[in-house]
Amino acid sequence: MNGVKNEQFVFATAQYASGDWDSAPLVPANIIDSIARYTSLLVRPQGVDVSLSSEDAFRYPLLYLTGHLPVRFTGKETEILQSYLDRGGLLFIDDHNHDVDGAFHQTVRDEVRRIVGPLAPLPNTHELYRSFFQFEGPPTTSHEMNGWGDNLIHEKLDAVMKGNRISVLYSNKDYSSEWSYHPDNKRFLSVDNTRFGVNIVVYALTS
Amino acid sequence: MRRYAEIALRTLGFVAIAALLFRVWPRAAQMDNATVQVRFSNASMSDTSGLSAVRELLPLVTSSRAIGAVDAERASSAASLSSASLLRMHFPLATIPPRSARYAISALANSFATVSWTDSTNAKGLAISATSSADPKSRVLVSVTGAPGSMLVSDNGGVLDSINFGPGPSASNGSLSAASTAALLLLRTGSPLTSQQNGSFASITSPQIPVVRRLLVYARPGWESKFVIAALEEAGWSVDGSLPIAPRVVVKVGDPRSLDTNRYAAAIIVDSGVVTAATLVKFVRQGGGVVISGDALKDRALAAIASVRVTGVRNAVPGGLLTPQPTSGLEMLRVAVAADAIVLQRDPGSLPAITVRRVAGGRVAGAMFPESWRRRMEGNADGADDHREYWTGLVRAVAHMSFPSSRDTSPASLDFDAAPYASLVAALGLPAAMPSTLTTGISTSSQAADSRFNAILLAVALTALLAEWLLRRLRGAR
Repeated sequence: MNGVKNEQFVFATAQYASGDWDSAPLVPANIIDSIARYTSLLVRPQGVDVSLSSEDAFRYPLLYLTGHLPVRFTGKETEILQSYLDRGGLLFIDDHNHDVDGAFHQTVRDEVRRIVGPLAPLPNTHELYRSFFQFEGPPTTSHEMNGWGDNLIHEKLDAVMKGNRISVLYSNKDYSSEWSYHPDNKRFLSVDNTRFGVNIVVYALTS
Repeated sequence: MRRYAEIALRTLGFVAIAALLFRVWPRAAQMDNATVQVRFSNASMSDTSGLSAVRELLPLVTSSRAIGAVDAERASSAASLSSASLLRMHFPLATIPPRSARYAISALANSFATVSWTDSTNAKGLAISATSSADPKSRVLVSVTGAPGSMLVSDNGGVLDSINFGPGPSASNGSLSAASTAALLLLRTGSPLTSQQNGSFASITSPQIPVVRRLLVYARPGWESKFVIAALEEAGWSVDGSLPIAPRVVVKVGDPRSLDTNRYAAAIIVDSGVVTAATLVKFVRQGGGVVISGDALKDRALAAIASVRVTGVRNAVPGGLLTPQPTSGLEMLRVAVAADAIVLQRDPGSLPAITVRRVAGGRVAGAMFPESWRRRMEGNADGADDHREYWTGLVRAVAHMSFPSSRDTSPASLDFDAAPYASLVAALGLPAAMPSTLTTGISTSSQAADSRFNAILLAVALTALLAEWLLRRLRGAR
């Protein structure tokens, strides 16, 4: 299994044919660092990039997908994603633009609707916000209200549910920008802003 | 004129006597060598209580010919009855007789009759059984067998299902091997449960429905524990769990409480070091079920109750999950099975995949796939269903079942006829061909009519001879 110890958690970034899937290359390392820092989970030090057109995607029940550019999934990617979500995988999508109606935002939501159904607002009381750290909703990013993007605070994340579990989690808060820095630089922050990433991983592993 | 009347009456009397003798004499003569064919009426065979069939059989049993044959034998030799002088009876059966009728025929066979039967029932192997199942979605497992053809399974509320058995293996010499089997998983049933095939019935009292309690999962956060919980919840189980994720931090699933049979049907141990052996031993002694899976089987603390001891690992075959033998694509623990454990399932490579042993009042299962979740995510299109069935089967094998306190122990609740065909064979032996000496050809329903006709003939003879005597006396002749 690619040299991966069975019990290790592996952070996987989804690679797709259209757009810029690798726009936030430092996010995986930062989230991995946080998981190792705060939890006793066994985590592989390096993340993996996995193509959505490959059945290798099924090895990683949590996938992180981001980008700036319009997204159109190919036929194979659509087929794999449908099966992936149907079998219980969780897809975390973050809009790297932080626009109200940007190209990535519009197209990826269309694609999600086409593949698995429409996104709907996720209540801020959802257990995702209490799975490890306690939040009263999605944490605000420094990019909100700073003149970049839409100047709006996005109060909620969106999700597609499968039963009572999140199947697709969608954010346009631009966590990809917020978390894309070298983990060593966390020491300059008064509060680690990647803590919500730990919640997402713990939620994926336990719910 | 009077003389002609006397001659006519005398002739009538003698003819009636001759006819009576003709009707009685030949049968008495044949009784020792011929076989009486007994056919039940349709009405009696459709009466599942069997009382109608017994009523029809009774006149035959108590007829003077039968009793006479026995009396004659008793007089000649009380010690041994010669079969040549016994009443031979043959039953060409189009349906399996109800239980009471079978008992009556069996009583005949065990007393003074030689009984045989031919099988035209088309209900070979008809039988039904029902057992309680610890499963939230199917709490009664109904198993039926029958001959190739259609079968209806019903309870007191109506038809539950219809089954069409395809042509089974060919049967020879009347063996039951031709019977086909099917199983139904039902949430609940009324009583009695019956299976009907070609007019024959098997019936059984429906089992009590168990109270299904919750499951408690002991594991660390990971894909295995996540998908075990997901599979069991999809199957209808309510699952609690305590998943330690950091020092002094536990992720709770559901509402976990202390392990007790009053709340939990089974505990599932996915990882080692997450539960104390004492907790599990106490639970098992209460009658609870425990599933020890994957790496938890390596936990030495659980060795006292585990059904296996891990001896090695069989590596997964790359790509094996997409083959017709998907478990070959999963890593599997090689184990030594405890002496008092049984293997419930083997991998196609013949390695034990699921084992169970009884410990005190409870059961402990061992599951040898540490990463069963891969079957769901990386397997073929049926992978998720297979994974769910694997885990529900494991839990079903060990789960503690609680029943409502009011158990039905009335005589009616014990009145069932679970395997009528087997019971028929046990009572009368295997079916035989139609006897070649079958000459009598009577039916139980025509017995009474025969007796009435003989009585009328006797009355006619007596009346005619009496009238002839009176006429002769009235004209002064002797």
